[in-house]
Amino acid sequence: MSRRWATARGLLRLCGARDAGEAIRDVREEAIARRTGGHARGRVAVWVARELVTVAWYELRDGDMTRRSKSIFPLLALRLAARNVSRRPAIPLLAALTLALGYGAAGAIFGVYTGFSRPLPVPEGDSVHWLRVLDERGNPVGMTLGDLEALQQGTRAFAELGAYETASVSMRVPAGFPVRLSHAAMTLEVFHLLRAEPLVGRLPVDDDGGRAVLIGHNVWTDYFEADPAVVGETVRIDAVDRVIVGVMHEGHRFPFQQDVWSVIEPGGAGASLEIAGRLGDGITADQAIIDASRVLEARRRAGGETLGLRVRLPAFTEERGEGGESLALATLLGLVICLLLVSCSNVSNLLLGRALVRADSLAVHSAIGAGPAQLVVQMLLEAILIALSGALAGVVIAAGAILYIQSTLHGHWGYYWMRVQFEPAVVLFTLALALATGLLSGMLPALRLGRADLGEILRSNAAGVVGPGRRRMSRWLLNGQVTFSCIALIIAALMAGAMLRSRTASDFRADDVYALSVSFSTEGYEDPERRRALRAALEQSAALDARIGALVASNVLPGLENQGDVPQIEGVAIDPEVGRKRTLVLAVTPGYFELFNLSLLSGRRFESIDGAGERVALVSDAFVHHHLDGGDPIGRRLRLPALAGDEWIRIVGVVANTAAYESAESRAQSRLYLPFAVLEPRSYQLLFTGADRDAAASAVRQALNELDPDLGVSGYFGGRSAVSVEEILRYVRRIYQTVGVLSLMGGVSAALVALIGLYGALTFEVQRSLSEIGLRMAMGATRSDVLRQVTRTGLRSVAPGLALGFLMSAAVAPALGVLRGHMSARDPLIYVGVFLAYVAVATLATLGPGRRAARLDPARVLRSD
Amino acid sequence: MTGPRATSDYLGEFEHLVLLAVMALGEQAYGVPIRRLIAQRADREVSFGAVYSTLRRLQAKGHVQFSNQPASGFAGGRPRRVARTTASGVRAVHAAQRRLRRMAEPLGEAGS
Repeated sequence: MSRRWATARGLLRLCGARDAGEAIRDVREEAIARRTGGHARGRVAVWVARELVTVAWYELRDGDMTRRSKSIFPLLALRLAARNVSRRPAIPLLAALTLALGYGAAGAIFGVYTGFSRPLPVPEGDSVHWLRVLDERGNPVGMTLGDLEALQQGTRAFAELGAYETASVSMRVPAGFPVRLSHAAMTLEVFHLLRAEPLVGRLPVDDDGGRAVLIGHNVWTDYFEADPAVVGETVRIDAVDRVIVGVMHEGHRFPFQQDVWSVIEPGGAGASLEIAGRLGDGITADQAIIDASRVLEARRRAGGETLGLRVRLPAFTEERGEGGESLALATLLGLVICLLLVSCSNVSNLLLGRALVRADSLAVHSAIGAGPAQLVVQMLLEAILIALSGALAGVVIAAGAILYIQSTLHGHWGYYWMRVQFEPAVVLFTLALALATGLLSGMLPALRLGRADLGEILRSNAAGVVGPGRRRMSRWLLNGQVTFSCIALIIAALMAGAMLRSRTASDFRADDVYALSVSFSTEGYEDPERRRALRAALEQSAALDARIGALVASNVLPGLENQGDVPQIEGVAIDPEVGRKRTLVLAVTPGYFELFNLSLLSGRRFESIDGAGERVALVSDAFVHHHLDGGDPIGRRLRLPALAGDEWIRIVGVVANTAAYESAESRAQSRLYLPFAVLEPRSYQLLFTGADRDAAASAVRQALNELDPDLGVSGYFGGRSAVSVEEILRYVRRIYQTVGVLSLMGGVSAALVALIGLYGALTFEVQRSLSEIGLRMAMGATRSDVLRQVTRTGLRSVAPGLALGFLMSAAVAPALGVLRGHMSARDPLIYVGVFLAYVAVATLATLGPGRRAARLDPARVLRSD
Repeated sequence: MTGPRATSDYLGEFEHLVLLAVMALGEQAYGVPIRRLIAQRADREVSFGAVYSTLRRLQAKGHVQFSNQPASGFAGGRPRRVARTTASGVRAVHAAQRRLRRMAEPLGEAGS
């Protein structure tokens, strides 16, 4: 009988059908007759399904009540299940723990996923859309006020449409120096489509003429002492006087994490607006996309452009972020659920194995009238009990993980609608998952028992359930699991290793170097000369101020460099391997190396004149080893095609390597330093020292304020306080740690899943070869011989999977970006450690079945044959 | 007649059809042929679920008994559980037929 029919029979038995075998034979015979009579396969399938449902329905309806109350509604059975679970608790506990890790990980990921993909927190926020326009190559196309007008006039699909753009601005505040804030300039329609209501004051109106500004609740409390009289006051933002007309509610940070809002002045907006809107009644997103594409393309054609546009209309909070975090999270969730499914199959094997071990008690049950249905329900209940206890622990794990993530990111979520928290939905999701997986893992042995005759099982000790084909398949499955879990465990261990090693290294000074971010948004600073002059003046006044130890500027923070290039060195052929290795490029002012205690190995450091005339650069020791095989680099010339084009740059000095993290890979990262004046970026970090941090930060702000009273600076985490480089690196490290902890959870869970699989498979194996073991013992084999044999069988059965897992890990791990050079992807310590741990735990998993086999009474086994 | 006796003698319309089919099929009275016969002669498509349920009810009333018959061909030689009418079943059919005829007498030929 094919597997499908057998499954159907199992299901019918589950419903209490006494004549399930007869019914299946009848339905099958009739189905074959219909097929040969020319009925279409699909119609016959539908007929079969309907017939089976009807049979089940009549069985449930007509079945003997006492019978049913024993088999389906089972206070008694529940108690029995609980007793069975608690009688031999070790394995159910292990299963519950495995499931708990899986549920915990799934719950935590679900929590983060829902936290990230919340709708916009405004009335009917999920109906606010973002009109995302891309060119043919998929690059975003900025919108203009003209586009907005054309859309407002030419489309019917939208009830409301508005545009906004964001920027960082400097604002003068009543007390203290100017601060840097996130600003959004919006059209008036945006305020209305958000249904925005200010907490104090009013929204801007047309007559305000663009001078009106709304401040956020955080700005109001931080800088204006939450004074309602702030409405009507004048503030200077980017050197322009504006009037505060209102204060927004605490939860309003539209569009991303904004602090202040103003109205776009006609002609004042750039060409990089974003458009948001609400659809008209009964209009679908697809209709609106067609409508908007028509208008925008007509406008582009009229302007002589031929490139096509692609319009998308996601909900406002969707498709944000470059990496598609939501997609990554959904993939991760999918993987965890796959893992849970595998663990379900293992738990079900485990239950079946336990059931076979309890054959005596099953026989007694059967003798006093328990049918397969009752035993099936019994098993189902045991599975659900295990799953639910796993779920309770899983909820605790999910809560812990979410609280940990919250504390790690302490409010820096990126977008204001994102809010990861432990909420009822997480509990519900975890419990629902537990129920579903519990049912599934209970159903599998149920269906198998349903297929096999109970007496047959009891007589043959598992051979009736596990034929040779099935054994081969389950061995494949087991090896697949071992391979998968091995990869997961190695990757998890690598990540955990990377996490541990991502302690900041002590080879550069970080704990008493403080950072403030400067950004030039005020008009007039487009000219790099003006920015250079301001910086030079700032360096001069800092040099005279006793509160500041040293002050330098750098385009990035050490340890967080991400700008890089592949250098072309004069006279050196590009080695394809080395060529792929990027060099990090930093622009720094002359005092940078002294500030971070980076010693000069040869040549000279930067001088203030560098940056004008011939281009020069310093390189790190690692650069010399990577690109010049340790040869003398001084005087050699190179080009940075991506960053500096064709211009030649001469190497004038070599400095010591820096590593932000304690790992050989981090130390071996090559760096190239350019004089700051070459790039003179519009935003950079001021790095300074001082005996008293606050005094030093205040001195820097004061010096800047004297040079330009409209220029604001901010700390790394926003706000006023300057933080040390060490604190910033520690924050970044905690993000790695979170990823590390979560992946370690996943890896350990995967390994436990495979070990439970091994335990189940061995239980079967022992049960199957009882007579062989009995014979061996009768012929003189000792208990320890038997134990050794079972352990050997167990280890041998996981060996191929383990070997494949190690090979695949070694192949896959180097592609892991998340290691970020903190860890070698083929770190022998990790591989050996994982191997030993795996073998140790696999041996432990074989002990249970092994001990059971060793305790056998050979005489009894042989007699029962 | 006493109440319970009347109830067990009384046949519902579908019970009547199934019992007639069992009688007609003899040694071949199991799900598929019963269902087919009812479909052919009574022009009525019924589900297996209904047939089994009715057979069980008839068994409880003592009108049919089940026995294992070796089946040939399709069932692969495995024994088939076939239904067989008991004396009480035959009596019940006759009684039901009589009741029907009496009820139909006023209609003359059309009712027979």
